[in-house]
Parts: sequence; C-alpha cells; structure tokens
Amino acid sequence: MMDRNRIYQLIFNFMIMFPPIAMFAYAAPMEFQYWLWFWPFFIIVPVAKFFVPERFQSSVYPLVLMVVLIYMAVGFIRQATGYSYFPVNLDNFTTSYIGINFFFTIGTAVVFPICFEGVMTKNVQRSLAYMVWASALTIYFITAVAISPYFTGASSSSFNSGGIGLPLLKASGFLYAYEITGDLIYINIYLLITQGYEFITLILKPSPTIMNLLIVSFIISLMGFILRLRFSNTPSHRPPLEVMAYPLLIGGVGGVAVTLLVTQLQSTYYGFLVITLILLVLTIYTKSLDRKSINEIKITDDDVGNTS
Amino acid sequence: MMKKRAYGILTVLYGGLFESFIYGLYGYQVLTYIFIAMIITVCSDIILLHAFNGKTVSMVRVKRYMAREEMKKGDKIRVELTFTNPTSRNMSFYYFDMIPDAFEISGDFEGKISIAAGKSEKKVYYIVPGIIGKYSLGPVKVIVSDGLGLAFQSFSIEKYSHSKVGPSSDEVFMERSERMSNMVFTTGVHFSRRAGQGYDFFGLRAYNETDDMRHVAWNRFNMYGNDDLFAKEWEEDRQIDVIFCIDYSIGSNSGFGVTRMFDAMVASAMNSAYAVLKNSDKVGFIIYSTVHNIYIPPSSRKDSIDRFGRTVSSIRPDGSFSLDGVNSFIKKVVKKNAMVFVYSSPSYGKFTGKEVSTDIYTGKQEYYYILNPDAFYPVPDSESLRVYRRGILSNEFQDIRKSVNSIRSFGINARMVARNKIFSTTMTDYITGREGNRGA
Repeated sequence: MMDRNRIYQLIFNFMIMFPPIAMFAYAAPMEFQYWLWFWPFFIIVPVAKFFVPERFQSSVYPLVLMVVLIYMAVGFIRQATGYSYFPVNLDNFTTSYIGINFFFTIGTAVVFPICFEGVMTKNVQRSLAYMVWASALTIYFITAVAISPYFTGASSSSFNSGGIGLPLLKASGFLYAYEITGDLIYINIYLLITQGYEFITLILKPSPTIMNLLIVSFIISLMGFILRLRFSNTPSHRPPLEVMAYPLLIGGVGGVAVTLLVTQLQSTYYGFLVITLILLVLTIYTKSLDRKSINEIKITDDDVGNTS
Repeated sequence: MMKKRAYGILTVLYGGLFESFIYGLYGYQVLTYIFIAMIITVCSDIILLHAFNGKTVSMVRVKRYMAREEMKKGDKIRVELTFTNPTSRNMSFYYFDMIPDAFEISGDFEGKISIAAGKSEKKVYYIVPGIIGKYSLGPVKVIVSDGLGLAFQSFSIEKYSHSKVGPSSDEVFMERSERMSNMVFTTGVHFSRRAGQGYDFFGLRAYNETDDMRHVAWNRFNMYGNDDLFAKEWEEDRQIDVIFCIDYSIGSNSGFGVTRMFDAMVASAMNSAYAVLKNSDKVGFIIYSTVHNIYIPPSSRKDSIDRFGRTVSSIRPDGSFSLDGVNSFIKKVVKKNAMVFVYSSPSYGKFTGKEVSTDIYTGKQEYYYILNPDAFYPVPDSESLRVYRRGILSNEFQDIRKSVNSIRSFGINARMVARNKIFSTTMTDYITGREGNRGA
C-alpha cells in the first residue's frame, strides 16, 4: 500500500514534469513516423527497472547504454567495412545506417525515461533537473517542428502554422529541419558565449499554439514545484502558509520586472549581462546570509521550583 | 542555514535559465520568465527568512520550570516550558529541549508551536532519570524554517537547569532490608575474639588486685574450695573500617541506555555499605579518578553513605584511573588499617606493567574487583555481530585474567566480577576477611 506522502509526491512530480510530458505527448504522433524499430525499448526499460531487484536497479541504465553503444559500434563497423565482410548476419536488427534517423529516435524517445524517472524520483531538485533536461530535448523537437515548414512545404506537416515551403527538401524534410535546428542551436551557444548575444533564434520562434502550451504547462510546473517543496517538509516543520506567500509574490513580480527590463534592453545586446548581474547579486546576497553558526537567544529565563 | 536542497534547486534553475537563453530569449520568453521567477522566489524566500521570520523568532522568551532539582532514579519530574512572544507579529517555529539520554522523556519536549503576538504558550513534559549523576537540561533549540523549506535558522538558549540524580530506593535495598537472612548473613561476624571492653561474655580468669570488683563472678566463688575469686572477661568490640573505592574515570561510563558501569558500582557499594554498617563496622568511601579525588572518612553511622549518595549525584565520571594512582591515594588518605574494596572498570583498571610496586602496596587489606564488561555491551540482533561481540569479549577476558594474576602477585585479592555479582562477592569477601580478622 502506497504511503499518502508518496502519492502526493508522485502527483507534484507529475506537475513539475508537465511541460516535457505535454510537449512529448503533443509531438509523439509525428515522432512515431520517424522512429526506428527500437523505440518501444525506451518505454519498456524504465518501467521494467521497477521490477528488477533493488540492488540491480542502478545497473539497468548503464547496461542499456552499453548495449546502445555496442549497437552503434556494430553499425559504424558495418558502414565502414560493408555488409559482406561482417562475420555475423545482423540484417534483421540493423535495418538502417547509424544516421539522422538513429539519433532522432534516441534524442526524442529518451524523453520518456527521463520524464518517468522525474515523476518517480523522491528528490525535488532531481525532479526539477529532469524537467530541465527533458524540456531541452522536447523544445529542440518543437523548434524543429516550428521551422520544418521552410523545408517541407505548407501542406505536409500537421504542426505547421503557415510557413513557406522549400520544395527541394520535401522528401525527408522534417529530419533535415531537425538536424538544422541542432546546428542553429550550437551556433546560438557559440554566439552566446563568444559574443554575448544571439540572433539565429529569431527564426526559431514557435507558433502561438506551442507558445500557449508552453505557458500553461510551465505554470502547472511552477505550481507543482511550490507544492512539492511545501509538502516535502514534515507537518511539524511546515511553517504557516502566509510565510510562503511573500516569496511567491516577490518572485512573480520580480520575474516580470526583470523580464520586462531585459526585453527593453533587447536592442542594446545587454540583456544577458543585466540578467546575469541581477541574479548574481541576488545569489551572492542570499549566500552571504547563510551562516552555519547557531545563534543565541539573548533574553532567557530559567527557574527551578514548584510551579503548582 | 541553507539546505543542500536549496543549492541543488538553484543550480538546476540556473541551468534552466541558460537553457532558455540557448533557445532564444526572444523566442521563448516564457521560459526565461519562469526560471527568473523561480530563482527570485527561492532567493527571496531565504532572504525573508533571515530578514523577518528569523529576527522575530529570535525575540522569543523561554522559561523553564522544573519541579525539583534533586531527584532519585525513577522519579517522575514535571518540567514546564513557557514561550512568550513579546513582538507584535505572530510567530511559528519548531522547538526542542535538549535533555541528556540519562532521562526518559514523555510529553511535549519538542514540537511545533505557534504563538500569537504578545501571547504565551506553555508546554509540559516529564522526565524520569535512569542513571545517577549530575545532569543539565537544556539548551532549548528553536528552529524557524522558511516558507518553502529550503533553509532554516536555529537559535539556542544557552542556559541550563541542573539536576542531581541519586540512587533509587529500589536499588539500595539493603538500606531498609530487615530480613532475617541478612541478619544471619552478617551480624556478629567477629571470629577472632579478644578479651577487652565490650558487651559479650568472653570467659573467666583468676581474679587479680587490679580487676574491678564489678566484674567478679560471684557465682563461681569458691568453685574449687579454696576461696578463690574469678573475674569475668568481656569480648573486645573490634570495629574495623571498610572503605569502598569506586573508579569514577570515564572508563566507568561504559554501557548503553541506562545500563552504566558506574551506576552498578555505586548501587553495589551502597548496598554493601549498609550490610557492613549493620555488622557494626565503619564504612567510608573513595571516589577516584584523575579528576575526582574524593574521600569520605569511615563512619559507624549512616551519614557517610548519605554523603556518598549526595556526592555521586552531583558528579559524572571523568578523567582516567590507574592501579598505582588509586593505591597511592588510598595510602595517603586512609591512615588506619582497613578493608578496602576497589571497584574498577576494565578500561583503566587493568595492570599495565608500568606501575611502581611501592605505589601499589598499600598495607591495607585490599580487594580489587575489575568489572566484567559483558553486561555493558549491548547484544546485537544479528548473529554475525554477536559472534564479533563474543570475539571482542574473549580478548577482553584474557587481558583481565592476566591483570588479575599480576595484581594478585602484590598481595591484593583481585578478581573479575560480573555486574550482578558485585554485592554478593563483596559480602563473601567481607565475611571471609572478617573471619581472618583482616582490616582490624
């Protein structure tokens, strides 16, 4: 029988993980068209992990990773040497080259185990980390969907919100879009680190449908995060609700203020610098308050005697 | 103090913010907003704790009332904690009164408390002491947490209530025991008799001029028909001094829970002392370690035992102990011949070989008991740990046996004694010693 706290934990974890879960569910029908045959393993492995004896559970993912690496090694050797020279006939298993399809399958299907682990974990920061990680992968995919009309044409994608098609790449256009999105993101990171600004992403702007999905799902995630923190304390250590209200108010208003400020600074390329400085000062101040020493209460009184 | 979780969350949130930058601040503004808002929420939560809630709670006033300071083992003592909120804001925190493990605690010694502005809140709990000695109750720890449970501030009231715990009446059963077996056990054990001043009849001898006429045995006058007189002789009342010496080093603090070596030594010494007192001998005590050098001179009344009880209730085992150290101390303070029972712990009481023989030799009738450590190690649940425990004890026993043999070579009656045999062994040795007129 599951503990009541554990049930709360699972519900709040699910709320925290809601953005990647929602985006994964939104994108899964399209992903399904391009996934290779081994995608069910990404669903089976994390679920099966819970039926493995506890002492072996930590070995499941490393084992799967080793199998994937061996599979890749076999694939690359086959590509390098040619089919005829390979001693074992593995045609039934390696149906394709280690190419974009393979990496697309891994890069998108891996979201399921990450989300699953994020929901099942007992640690709030781990759940949050899984959310950030899974969001990175799903937003990558969603971004690819956003620019895919440029490569596939207006009518070929159900996700398209009306773009200009490039008929030249129409045959396997979505996977090209996926690959190019990756390249654009790498360029973005390069520019962000070396120049301190970015411009490539202007073309990665998602459709309003995806934006709405993102906003709603991240609000749910934020609620889940707050509730998870609140209920992770034992009732005896849980402060009154009013104590929690002020930081939330400050966080909400502060977030809006900083974001607006940064938007205003968009033209000056100082947006990231301003955010970094504001958050750095805030974090250093927070850390400076963190003292390990135990404070003494000065006003004390002590008495021994019969109180009746 | 920030919890590890707060650091973890902030790290993840900064990672998320960086991710939102990668995907383009202007494309996915919502991501940036969400992560900035979360970072500010977490930071402001911790800042507010230190700036407001922590400062408010630091103003709390606490009063501790303890029903009485002196108590006996097993007594149930009521303790009251009164928290007063002198501020104009409500406060809520977690409190914990730090009480030594020598006490069993029941009631509200810890918990969550909310106090309205200007009000007071009273919490009551009970303590039952389980070990003798002097203990301090306190400090009261007050912990205030932030709204999201990411940090806390802890305050401490560094003032203590002291309690002195003496042996319980149940343990010192010889004090009130009037059973016939106890009387037979000890009373009147004076085997090596000598004529002198006393109350018991010793014998007759021929009268001489210096004898008091009151002692003439008139019913034996002319017993042989030549008008000779006989005088009655009385058995000399030979009171001996019995000293109980307790090893009060930190080694005697061995044990677990409320089972402690020094506790067993004190209870056995007090019981033996009452039995010896009933046999009209004098009883004194020595509490010895490098920290405690307490000598309670022998007395034929109960006052020395009472003083011993009061003394042990106001000290705790401390320092180290050695065979030559204690014997030098005995030699120094006990001037008359006496029967000395030394109760030592295996930690320091063993013979090391470094002792100087002149320090060991006291000239007293000494009985040296090294306590068997078996009863003072908890028995683990797992069989493998029990085997391990037996191995440790086996080595310990070998060492103690070697020490006992070495100590015996100095003319000291040494032995290893189990916890529940201290009293009976002491009494057996006392009676045997009395028969041989040792210590007289």
